[in-house]
Amino acid sequence: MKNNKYTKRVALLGIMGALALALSFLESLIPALPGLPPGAKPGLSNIVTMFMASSYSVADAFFITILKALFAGITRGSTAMLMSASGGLLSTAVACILLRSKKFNSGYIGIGIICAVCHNIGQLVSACLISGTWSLVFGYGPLLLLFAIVTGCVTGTVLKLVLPALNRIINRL
Amino acid sequence: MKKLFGKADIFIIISVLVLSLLLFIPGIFNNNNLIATVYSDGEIIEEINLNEVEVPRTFSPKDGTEITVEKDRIRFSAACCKDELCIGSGWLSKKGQTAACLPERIVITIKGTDKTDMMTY
Repeated sequence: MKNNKYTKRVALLGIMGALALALSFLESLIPALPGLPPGAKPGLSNIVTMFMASSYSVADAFFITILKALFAGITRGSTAMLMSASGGLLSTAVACILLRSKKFNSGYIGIGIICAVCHNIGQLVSACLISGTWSLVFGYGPLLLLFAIVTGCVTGTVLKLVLPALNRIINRL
Repeated sequence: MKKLFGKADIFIIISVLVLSLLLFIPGIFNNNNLIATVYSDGEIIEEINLNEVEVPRTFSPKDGTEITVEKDRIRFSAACCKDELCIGSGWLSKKGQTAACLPERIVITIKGTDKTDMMTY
């Protein structure tokens, strides 16, 4: 069974890709919270990319991120695709480095927060580049960072809780 | 396997809090002389002193996008895309508040006029 390894990879990518898309669709159903910048989301689908980055392969974590951006592009237009890609690629890159480094000794909550902050930084920078207006950083930045602490705690905790179960699935494949 | 929460995580939370406070500071001083600046494609197309607006008015910088101005406040009132995130930003009435329409590349931001602000911005 020479192709076995590839079949497993395709199957896992299919499951995880579907999970990420379902989670990002679920998030889009949450109405804008008062006091928060419109478009701020909990980032639940980041759990999937963080899991892929920590337990499977870096390349496949980026694959899921790009899939998410394409999905945003098809369902919500090119601006949404750019926002999803810029935030997603930066936060996935940082997640790969932090989750795989042995020297970096913070817990999952800290990594979740850093990933959420990186997601926001990537989006803010691309929003500033699109609009050509850097004052967006001061308008949206502070609230987005505070919100990132909350969502980072949630994604980090969920990741820690589901990791054993997901790792078992990978090992059984 | 990494742990869930540790000393390093407290440090991370505190540094993000401090960063958010630092970004917040330019916006909190003085709410007089609210100047709303409307950018389109990165260039200023309108500067409105919100304290001096007597009659509410609506203008349209680009097709499908509408901005409404009243005394002391300004907002997006119609959008060209179905996201309508710019309308969701609601009324802007404090310094530092911003609403952006990314598909049409239009940004409204409110600034004051005192000198320290010109420096920090």
